[in-house]
Amino acid sequence: MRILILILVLLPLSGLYAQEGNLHISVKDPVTMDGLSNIIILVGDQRLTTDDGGQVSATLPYGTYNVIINQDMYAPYSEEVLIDKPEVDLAIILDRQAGSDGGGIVEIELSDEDLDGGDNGQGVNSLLHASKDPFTNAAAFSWSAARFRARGYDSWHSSTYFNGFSMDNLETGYGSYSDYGGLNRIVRYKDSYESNKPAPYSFGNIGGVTNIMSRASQIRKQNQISYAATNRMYNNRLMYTFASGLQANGWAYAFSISRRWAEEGYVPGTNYDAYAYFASVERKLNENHMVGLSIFGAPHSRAKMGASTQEAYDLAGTNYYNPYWGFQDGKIRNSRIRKAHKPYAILNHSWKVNETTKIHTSIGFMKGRYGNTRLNWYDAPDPRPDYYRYLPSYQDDPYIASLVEDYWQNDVGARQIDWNRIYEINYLSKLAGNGANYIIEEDRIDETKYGINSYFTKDGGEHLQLSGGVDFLSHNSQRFKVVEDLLGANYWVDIDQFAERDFPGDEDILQNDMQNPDRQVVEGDIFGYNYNFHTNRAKLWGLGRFYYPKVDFFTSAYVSGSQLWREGLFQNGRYPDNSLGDSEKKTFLNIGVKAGVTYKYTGKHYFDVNAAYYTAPPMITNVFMAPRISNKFVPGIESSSGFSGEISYIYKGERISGRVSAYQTQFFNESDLFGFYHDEYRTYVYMTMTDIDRMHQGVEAGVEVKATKTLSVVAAGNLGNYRYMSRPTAYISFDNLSQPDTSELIYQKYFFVPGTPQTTGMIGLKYFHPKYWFFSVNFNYFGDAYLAFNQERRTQLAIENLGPGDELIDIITAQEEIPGGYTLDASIGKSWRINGRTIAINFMVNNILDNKELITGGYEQRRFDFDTKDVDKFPPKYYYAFGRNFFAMITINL
Amino acid sequence: MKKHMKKLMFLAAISALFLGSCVQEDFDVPDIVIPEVDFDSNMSIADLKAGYPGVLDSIGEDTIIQGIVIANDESGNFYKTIVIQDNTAGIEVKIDRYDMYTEFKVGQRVFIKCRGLYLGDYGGLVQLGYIYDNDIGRIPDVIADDHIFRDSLPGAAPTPVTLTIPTLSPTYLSMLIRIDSVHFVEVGQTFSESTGTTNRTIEDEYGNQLLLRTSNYASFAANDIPAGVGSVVGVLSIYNGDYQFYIRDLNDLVNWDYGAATEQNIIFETFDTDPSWTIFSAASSEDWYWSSSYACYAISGFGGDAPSDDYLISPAIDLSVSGITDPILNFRTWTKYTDGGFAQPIEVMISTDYSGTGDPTTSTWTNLTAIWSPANSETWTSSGDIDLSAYIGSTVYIAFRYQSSGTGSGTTSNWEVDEFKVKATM
Repeated sequence: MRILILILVLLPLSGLYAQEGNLHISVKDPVTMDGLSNIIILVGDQRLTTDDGGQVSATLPYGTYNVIINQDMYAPYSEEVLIDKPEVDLAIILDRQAGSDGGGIVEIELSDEDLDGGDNGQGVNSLLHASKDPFTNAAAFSWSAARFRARGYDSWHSSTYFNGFSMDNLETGYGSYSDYGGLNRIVRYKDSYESNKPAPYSFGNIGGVTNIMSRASQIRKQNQISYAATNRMYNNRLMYTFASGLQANGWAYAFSISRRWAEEGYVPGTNYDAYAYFASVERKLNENHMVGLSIFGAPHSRAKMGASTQEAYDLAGTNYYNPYWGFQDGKIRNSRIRKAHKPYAILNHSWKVNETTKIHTSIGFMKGRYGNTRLNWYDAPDPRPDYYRYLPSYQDDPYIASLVEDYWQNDVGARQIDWNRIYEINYLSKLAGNGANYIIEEDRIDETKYGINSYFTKDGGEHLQLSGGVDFLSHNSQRFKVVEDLLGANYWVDIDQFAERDFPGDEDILQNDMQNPDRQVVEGDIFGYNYNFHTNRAKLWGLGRFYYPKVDFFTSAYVSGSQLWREGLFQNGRYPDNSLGDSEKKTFLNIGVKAGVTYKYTGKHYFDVNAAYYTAPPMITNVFMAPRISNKFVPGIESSSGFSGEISYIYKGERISGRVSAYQTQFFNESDLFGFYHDEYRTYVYMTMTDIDRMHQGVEAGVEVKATKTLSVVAAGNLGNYRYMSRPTAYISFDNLSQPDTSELIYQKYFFVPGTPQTTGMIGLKYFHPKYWFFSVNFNYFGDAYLAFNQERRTQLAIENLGPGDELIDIITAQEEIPGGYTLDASIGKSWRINGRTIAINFMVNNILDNKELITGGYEQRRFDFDTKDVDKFPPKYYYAFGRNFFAMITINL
Repeated sequence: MKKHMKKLMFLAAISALFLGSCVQEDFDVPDIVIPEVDFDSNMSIADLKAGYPGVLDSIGEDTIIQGIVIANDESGNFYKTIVIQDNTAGIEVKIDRYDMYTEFKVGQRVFIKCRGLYLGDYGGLVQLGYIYDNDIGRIPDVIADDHIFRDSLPGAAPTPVTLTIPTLSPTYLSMLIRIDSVHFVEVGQTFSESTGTTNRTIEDEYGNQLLLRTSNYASFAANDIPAGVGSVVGVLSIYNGDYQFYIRDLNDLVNWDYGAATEQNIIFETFDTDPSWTIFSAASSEDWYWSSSYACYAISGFGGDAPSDDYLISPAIDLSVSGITDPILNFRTWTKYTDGGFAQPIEVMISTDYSGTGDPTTSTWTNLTAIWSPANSETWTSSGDIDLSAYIGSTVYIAFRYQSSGTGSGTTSNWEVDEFKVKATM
């Protein structure tokens, strides 16, 4: 706080003369060692182009700059450069890499695990951080198949900006990559800062911060089309990108469109249809002002895969068995489709106030929809083929079990959704004058988000660089269910069937919308639940960076205020007095500070230490006891906090470069809500965990050795230890109100944080042939990953009546470790120059050894038999990494 | 301009490429295939049941029966069961599947290939199912579709056979039955207790009774049993020789006249627990008491400090309900030993002006004529129906007065009173 005041006091002292240095950059090809001409280099907010000899110079105020190159035929380059003396030389030797833009890799992270059960499964946008650092590259490319998350952080621990506007989802904290997926050409230029490192446009986040720089003037002039074939989530990708560069008349345009599609992806029953569009225009008004507008979106629709038990996988004969689909009229029909489109408009203004001061302002607006469909049913057989009662293990009688087993193994219909039967049953119900037995409903989140991020940078002389700003976001969403398909029926009755069952004779409690009781809803009608979430956050922050010959240091702070509340749009029969209208409005005041020192032992050896402490408001999705139907808050909701420190040694030699870092981060008082259908109480249940503490510590390292001009060896690894450090309290609320709200203590102290391998290793070779061949191969190892666990099995109740030393106690409470695994990946590419145009072909094969036993995650079912205490009755569900898969792409620069 | 045209055409070509192939399909409602069976039945249900040997029996022949579904699990009163009948008989078919009503609607014609299935019985009711633990079980879900075939769309359910309670016979088990002019005895109670399947009573105008059995999982389990008179439709069942009647849902109460007068109990006290009736002792230390061992009220003057004169007084009994007719008092008594001093040591009497508490001797009591257990008979004896019509319009109390001529053997007798009931038509 004091630092922030100091910065604000210093701000008006803008008369100081900024010390400047000349940066001389040379860019060379690694094989020929020829200078590369016409290479676009972003240095801070400046855009440079190399001359015929591959050279360019710029005069910059003293400070730290990210130098970013993203050139076709070469690997992305990003390096932090310090201007701390009058003349600074930077010799860049790019890695050859034909045509790779990461396509097909990051999509794996957009997995389906967010809805069913405990594994939050949010993708972490590692790719956004991809840089020259061998460790970061491994995290982004090599380990994503095993769902590696750097340092075990969750997606809300890192932040993303797009043209300076925050893309953070204030409600869930989940990554926003799918909002602009398919714009690979556009999101290539990234200004990334890992962990606690200082960024000029934001205070940042404990897991790092990235700004995607996609203003029209920042995108390299190009006219490019590419086509890719793959067997991963999709089969085809077509992409076209045009950019004018900054023209002499002061205008710049950029445009990109892409489509990714598949009739059926790697997993059976998963079709995929995703579009993306981007358009940006920017105008340089004069030397001091530049304005731009970018509009983009990624409408997509894709079918999902569901985790299943090993029993079902074994019966189906494949670990990619998908219970979500069946044939209708000979065509694949999946019951779970994600349809989303969140178009953004972002307005930019850059203002050079004077020689030393700049102000950048981004105003953004987004209004979009996000929906997931699923089957719902009323007084009808469970349509899910892998429902546990349909599996052989449910049968006590061995002969009947063998009949079921035979049916599962030999009749594909046993393993799929029987659409014809569903339609037939609805038809028979219609004949009898009744409503639907089955429908497809869509859980929708319609978001409206707007905000402004405005920050200044100020060169405060030879030793000082200042920046700071305000960042305001308003995030609002309407959350509701809508009837997507009546499946041939005439209507569906909007009541809660679980309340109807448990409260016979009560005409009010079962109403989802008391103002429209027993309403017959049809396709397009909102039903079930309907409410708005409102979150506002305003943040004020400042950063000071100080430069001296041997030592650089920085210090930064923020203060923020947040407000959140729920606005019920339905009066619910379970909470007639506490569901309609605004809830109490909760406000939170938060602060954060961070600081760091870099010691420059020599020009090759650097030591870096930094630390951060912050508090953060709870996310609105975690603060309500039963958010779908009530305004009631979870008791004792408060801010979470975190403390993070790291120490790094960085070596930048001519042939060897690398980094090793040790880190320790502690999170305190986090909360998390799980909503799920409880098979035992047979109703939807909300479980909110509060007072979650955890510790993430470990060592990560990466090194690259240039053995020869054409051959490099890279290696990277992470040894982590991510553990829960508290016994959280779980608040439980039953959607049908058949049980009173309860709370229980969860004995999960020292459990491992699930969802990511905690130990990873990679060793690889990169080869560049003089004739623009490129080849790489790497071997990856993953280990120490753990299954997401059912908290209810770690309660006193679960082991009640078991004597000390009873071996069942350990069986019930122990956490399941996912077996370690390995993959082998290779990539080959070549590019040609024909009449000044380039054509590149790139072919990647991941998991060459076709390892189909690599579990990437999963979760224990949220059901436990408290009577028999048999953990095998409701066994865990798993996801497996894809077997051998490829990505082949041709890129043509027109 | 030419340059722009070229660009435009290029853009159009690109757009065409992007929109060219379509992935997402909207799914139409498919045509419903009306189920049709291409084979015929070769045995009637009556013949199938007649062949049941009395113990679990595997059906080895290619027996095929057909029938119309008359009951299913829609309301939850039948669990994992459908009941079918042809024009000869009906049979329960046990299938290990939930919510079968969605496909086996009432009125649906089904054919059942019986080879591989089993016949068994539960409490005397013959069922078609499968083997489980060497007893009759449910047909496993996965093989049910290999045996049970729907034919055409559901039609009208068969007309129920109209019977009376006395004319019920095993021929009609598992068939749809209608019984006219009946009422329920337990008016105002729920069809089923929440704890388990519950028996209630259907009664006709002649006092013939039939058990109505309702599952606590039935959708109408928590509904109150209505007053009135009407017809009931349902499935006849049997358990160890007692007929049981299952309605499918409340629509099976047909032509129900909810206002019709029926004979109802105004009070029916079995003394299973102590109802704390008023006890007044005019003389002696031996008083009326509630006996937990025999679940009745009892008294004996033996060993008292003086010859007994003791009253046992009922709670208020309201005979002022409008439209009430034919109020009847009925109870039963038991006695042992003989009191030489009293020919009739116990009397029953009625009062319209008793205050409800305290000394009854200050009120006006009128003796009623009852049949009593013969002296020293040790036999439970019904009082006979005692007509209370004279008291219509009043709230009355009924008292039992016991006296003894002494306190010892030969001068005292033991008496017990139970099953105290006042009923009336209303």
